[in-house]
Amino acid sequence: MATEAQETRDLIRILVDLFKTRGEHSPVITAADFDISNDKGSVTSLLSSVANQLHRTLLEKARRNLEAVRIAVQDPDTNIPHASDIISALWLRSLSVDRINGAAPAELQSDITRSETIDDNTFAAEMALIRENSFNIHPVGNRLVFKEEENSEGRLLANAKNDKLFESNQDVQQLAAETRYVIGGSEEVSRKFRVVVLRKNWQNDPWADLPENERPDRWDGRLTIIVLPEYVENIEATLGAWLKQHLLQRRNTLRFLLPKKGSANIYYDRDLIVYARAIYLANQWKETDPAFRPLHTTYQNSHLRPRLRDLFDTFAILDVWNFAQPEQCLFLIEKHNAIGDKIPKAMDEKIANELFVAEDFEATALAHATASSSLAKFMGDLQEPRIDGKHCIPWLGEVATKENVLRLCAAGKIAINLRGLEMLQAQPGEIEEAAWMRIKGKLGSGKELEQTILQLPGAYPQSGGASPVQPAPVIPQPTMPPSTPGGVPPPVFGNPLPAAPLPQPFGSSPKTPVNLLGEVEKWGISAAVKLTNVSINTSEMTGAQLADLLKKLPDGVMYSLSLEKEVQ
Amino acid sequence: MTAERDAKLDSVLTAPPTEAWRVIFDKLWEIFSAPLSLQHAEQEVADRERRVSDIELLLSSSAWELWRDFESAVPRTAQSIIDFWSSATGGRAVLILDGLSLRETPWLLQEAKRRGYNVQRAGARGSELPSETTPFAKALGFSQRSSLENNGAGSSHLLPGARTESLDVAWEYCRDWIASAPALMLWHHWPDDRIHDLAEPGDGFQKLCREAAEQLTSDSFWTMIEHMATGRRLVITSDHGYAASGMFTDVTNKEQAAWLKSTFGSSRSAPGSGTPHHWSPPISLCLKNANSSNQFALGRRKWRSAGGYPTLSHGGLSLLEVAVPFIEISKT
Repeated sequence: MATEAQETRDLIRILVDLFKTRGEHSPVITAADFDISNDKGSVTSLLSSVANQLHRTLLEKARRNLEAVRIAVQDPDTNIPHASDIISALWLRSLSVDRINGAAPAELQSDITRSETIDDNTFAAEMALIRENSFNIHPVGNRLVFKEEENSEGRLLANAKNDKLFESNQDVQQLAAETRYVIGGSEEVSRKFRVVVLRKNWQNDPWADLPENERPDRWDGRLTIIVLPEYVENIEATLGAWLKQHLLQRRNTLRFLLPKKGSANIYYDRDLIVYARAIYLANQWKETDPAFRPLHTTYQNSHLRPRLRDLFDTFAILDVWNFAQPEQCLFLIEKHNAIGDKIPKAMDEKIANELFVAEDFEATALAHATASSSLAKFMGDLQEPRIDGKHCIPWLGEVATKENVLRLCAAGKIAINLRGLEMLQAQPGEIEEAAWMRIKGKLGSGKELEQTILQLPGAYPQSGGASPVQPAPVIPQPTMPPSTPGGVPPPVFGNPLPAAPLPQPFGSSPKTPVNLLGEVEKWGISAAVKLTNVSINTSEMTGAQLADLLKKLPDGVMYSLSLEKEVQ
Repeated sequence: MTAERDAKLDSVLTAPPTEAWRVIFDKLWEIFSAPLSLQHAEQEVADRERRVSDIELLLSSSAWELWRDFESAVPRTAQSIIDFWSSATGGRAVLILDGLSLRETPWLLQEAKRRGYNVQRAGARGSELPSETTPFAKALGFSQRSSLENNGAGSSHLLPGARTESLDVAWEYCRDWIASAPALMLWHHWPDDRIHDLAEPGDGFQKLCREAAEQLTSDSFWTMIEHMATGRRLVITSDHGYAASGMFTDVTNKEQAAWLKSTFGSSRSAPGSGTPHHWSPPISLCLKNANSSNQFALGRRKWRSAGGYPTLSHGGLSLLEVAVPFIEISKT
């Protein structure tokens, strides 16, 4: 057994002690009878014979492992009734100085089998629990070995399962942080969205457990996604009451992200919590023990985050607000069909494309323009729910709202006064896309929005004309006799044909059609005037505009056309 | 044109200048003398501004020649004051609020009525051209506004016997000046000083709306009015109005914008006949009167200039720069 044992004499002493302790309990003496939990008996005599410090240390570790396992596993007497025997047997079998030590699980099963059969499955389950919660059991091939050095993962999990270590809710904070990262962690998402994961007490005091920078008074212009830790029944009434009680302003801006229907509260899901704890501990311990560095990564990327990525499959936004009876509030509850950090964008697209009613937005914008409201007031109103049972206009964020306002302006529905510096308004005859290109991106932000006034479009004075065109000098051409037989012969006897009048050129710089009509009138061109070499030029137009133009050209005249097509 | 078409305005295009200007000024008075509520003042005034922009478009784009007859066709404030001064018997007083426009008319009418004054007459009058302070002072026979200070105007002006003053102090301090003299002429610098203070980019127009409402409904202002009106017929009027030029449309034609900038800079008028241009309808007009020749920006257009075009201004040819209220009240 060990080199230090004094041959047969010590062996006999050990066996005597073993028999005295266990002889009456065990039909067959096995390694499991070296009970590490008993200070007196075979183990003591064994160790007194084996004066090896390594072995003494290993005994201490085995005892601590047993204790840890019994603490970590709920109802240990039922779930791991053989823990003491198994750890004792494994410990003893691991004392060997041979190259192959330890034991295969089957050997341990036979060690602990006494007068009654131990079911294979029951043993496997018990063994798994022990391995998970013990931190000195190492797998070596198909064998298990009890070693002095700790099994990092075992230790990590053993600690992660110890509720007493997380009485300050570090695990809740870690799980919330991981959830926030999984949904809104990437830079691309976090630039546009603020993901707030509510904690355990979200219904009664949602903000207390959140870091200060996640509380409503610190929210910036990003779109806020509130992640609920559970899917509650009667979700509309719950969220309505929640909004009334816990959010005093900007109630129409929130997007609620909900876990799958039927899933438990994430903070009470044992697996998720243990993973979160393992990540938390590994992150702390990796500074002093590099063995925890890969574990931290593994538990984060291979265990917890994959579980969280597809857990939240539903979102809700406010539809009809009822302040007096918040339980009567209505929400639009939809699936977003995305996972992980694709969720915010998928929600955003679904809201913008399917839930946002452009006509409602336009009607509200026109009402504000009629009242000469500032853009800040308009956006402030959009962020609050509409009253009197009207359907809320989903809040798309400041950037999208400003773009929609500019689109209305380009369409000639409203005008925008930019702080008295510039009046944005579609010009008479200007196509919408040209107006859009002219005005896009011109709205400011912050304080400037208070000084940006929405108005109904007003009169638009325009003036036109160009510097008089200098007529080109006329170069006299020698009169040539007609060279073709069909030509008109010169008159022989007087009465010459009247000379054809020289055509007079006219032209103008690029103008709107209305102004060109004004020019034509100024040039004295009435309906009966015959014109030659008429050309109308434009530097840029779309296929649709060209088709429209060609359809309007008068019949009975032939036209030529040349253009340059942009390569797609 | 976004407002309902007013058939009365059709005559602007065909009627003789005097009749056309009467129709325009009647319309202005109809729009701007209607009651206002403190709660919705800013929105309502902005809406009135939009309504008048339709008339402005008609005037500047089709009937711009009417401006050449403005001085002869429109009853002007200076002459109305002179007429009042000569016709009134007994005590008389004139309060000129520098830069007060038609927009502020409702506060005066409403408060006068509420505080028990008789409004003897009220209507719109025309300023001098350019619509600046000094031409108006000259029209009354003063060399300039400051010459009224401390009764220093002498006796060569057209308001004989008037005790004159030009003040830029709180209404309470003005009361100290109002003595028992039977004929008073007080030229107060408000709101013109605020017009120029608030002409920076931002929400100066809205602030001025609020401030005007606050001042013209305040007890301190009406206590001063009471002092002036005690034993006197009182005229409240102004030398010129102002344009909410921040609400004007931008001249997008680069050639026109450059011409306007080089001719006017950040002003609405410039002395002299200026460089001729060929645009039609015209973007400016050169008007001559007995004393001078000036080039005026025409209509509701603005352009980019160094430091930004002022959002509130006066001196050009737009209706609210040249039309001012003329209100005569007496105590019951």
